[in-house]
Amino acid sequence: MDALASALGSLSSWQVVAAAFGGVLWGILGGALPGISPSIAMALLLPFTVGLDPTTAIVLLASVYVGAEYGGSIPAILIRTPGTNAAAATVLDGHAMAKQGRAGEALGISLISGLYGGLFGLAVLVIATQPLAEIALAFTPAAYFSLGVLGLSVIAGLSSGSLMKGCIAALLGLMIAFIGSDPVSGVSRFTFDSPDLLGGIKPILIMVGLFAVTEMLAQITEPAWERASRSAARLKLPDWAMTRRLFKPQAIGSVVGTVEGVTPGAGGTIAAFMSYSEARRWSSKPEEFGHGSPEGIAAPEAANNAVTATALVPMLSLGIPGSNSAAILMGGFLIHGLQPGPMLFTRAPEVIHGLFGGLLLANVAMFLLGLVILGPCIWLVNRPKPYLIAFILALVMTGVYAIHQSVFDLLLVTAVGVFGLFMRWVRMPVLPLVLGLVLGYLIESNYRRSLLISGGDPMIFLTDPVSLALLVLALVMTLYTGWKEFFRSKGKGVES
Amino acid sequence: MNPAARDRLLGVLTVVFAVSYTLAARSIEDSLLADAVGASGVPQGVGIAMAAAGLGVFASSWTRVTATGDGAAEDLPGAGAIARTVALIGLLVAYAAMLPWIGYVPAIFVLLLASGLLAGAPAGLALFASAGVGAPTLWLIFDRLLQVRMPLGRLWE
Repeated sequence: MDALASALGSLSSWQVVAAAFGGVLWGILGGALPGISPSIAMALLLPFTVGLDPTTAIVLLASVYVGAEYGGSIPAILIRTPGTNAAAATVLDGHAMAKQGRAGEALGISLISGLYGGLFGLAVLVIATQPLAEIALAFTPAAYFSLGVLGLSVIAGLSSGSLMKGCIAALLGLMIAFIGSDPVSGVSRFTFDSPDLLGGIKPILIMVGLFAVTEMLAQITEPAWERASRSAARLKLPDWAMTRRLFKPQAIGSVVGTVEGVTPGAGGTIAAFMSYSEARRWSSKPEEFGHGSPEGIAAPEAANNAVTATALVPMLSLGIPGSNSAAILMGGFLIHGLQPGPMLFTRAPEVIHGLFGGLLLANVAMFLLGLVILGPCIWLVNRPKPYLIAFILALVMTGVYAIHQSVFDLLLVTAVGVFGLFMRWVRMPVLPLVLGLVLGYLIESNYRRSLLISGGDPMIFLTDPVSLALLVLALVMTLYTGWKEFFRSKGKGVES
Repeated sequence: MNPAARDRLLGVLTVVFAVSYTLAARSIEDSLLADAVGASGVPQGVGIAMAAAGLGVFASSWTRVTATGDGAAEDLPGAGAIARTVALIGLLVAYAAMLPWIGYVPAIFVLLLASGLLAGAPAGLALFASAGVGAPTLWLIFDRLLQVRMPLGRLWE
């Protein structure tokens, strides 16, 4: 009760309130710009936190994280460009709705679902940080490998009825993930002696190429997309019927986001994809997914935002930063002489409680700022198509250059965009490729680490209880989805 | 080209690529620090799996019409549309090539102007003005606000 009072007390400080609102605004801007990841947006503000008191500084950085993870969905919906890796799962249905003239509705669903997931994750963070930390400690390399396999098991749900092509796409994603230094020995692989490839290929480059550049290359030959009517171009929050429909995918997203968040290294991207697949699996209208389903936005957005709070569990309780953003936040703690870990709760409880209060405020700020800025965003993308294409390409190419200040990246993204056209032509789904790309490192590095630990005995994946549970879950999900897809395709065959 | 023929083409290309990839993976030399799996172990497994999936797509194209795939799939557009797409690809490559030489603001101005024209905007004051406002605005956001240093251009340095 004292902790609750302390957390709420921190909200009365105007510095904390200003940090929450300012941080969220900065985060939304960073998240909405391709090439500026949440961690970069946070890192840019890190030097400015030195002169602030610890609570204000930590709230500022955490608010940037909340804002950036949400902000990534805005360009994903409006211009088919995921601002962050995790927003890639929102692209399909979000942009489909925008093209149907329902951009305001899509953004409203994204905003509400983000708030829902963020508050759910925060509640979990406040109530269960210490017990959940024990789950994080139970994750061995074998369990991480199995977590990656579980992530891949959703391919069937993301393959739009073409499992074989989905597998090819996922394997291609894994191949791209293998480019660069070998995670165990450091040997260069598939770099063709190019220094630009030594560090591997960032997933955001592939996503921007596959989604944004491909879309622009396709759109330049097509007639103008449907412009939203005056009423549809306004931000539209879900009505009661829609709220009821979204409850299930939001709950799925929140739970998946919580589980993935407390697992160091899993992150929002895997959570978004898994929750998208699960929402489709449990939906009464799975056929709408990929063609503008509101549930296809609600689940990944709730998951993505739940992760922003629960990803702090291993960092706060164990001192393990599970993501780049958590590492920057940890840097904020260290700058102020605070060492995250079990002792933090006794040494600086006021900062922890201030962080909890600040995160609550950041979620409220995200909602309020979203109401204000989304309208102009919708207006902007409702401009004539030629100007919009020019602006999107300029924004994308600038964002891509901003990642490494590399001309090579610009050429790579262009080439990936051309390949995306080929994928469309042969009807190969894109999302499995992104999933393979994101999971490649996690799977390979932990597979090999596990075998090193066991002396080459593959039974380690079955004797580790967490690993075994995850593998069984992956098997059940694969069989269930495969069974459903089989009967769905049979049904289609009968209809045709 | 009908969907089944496209699947056949995809199957063949996938198998050829996967075999080449597997051979390339086999040629990766391990260091003294290598584990039992080695740097080439997992990529080889993935390459073989991809070849099998490619064969699966090829075989299934003969047994049924085709999988439904991504709903966005469409036939290739006409020659004029292809020319416009190729021109846009050329423009993006040209942007990458000229960026280090002429600097960010002029390069992004050219990209805004030329891509607008390719997309069908009338060549007039509105397009020129939007590129003229857009280029420095993007520079202000990225270079000044976000502190991402954009190239000034070797020609002017």
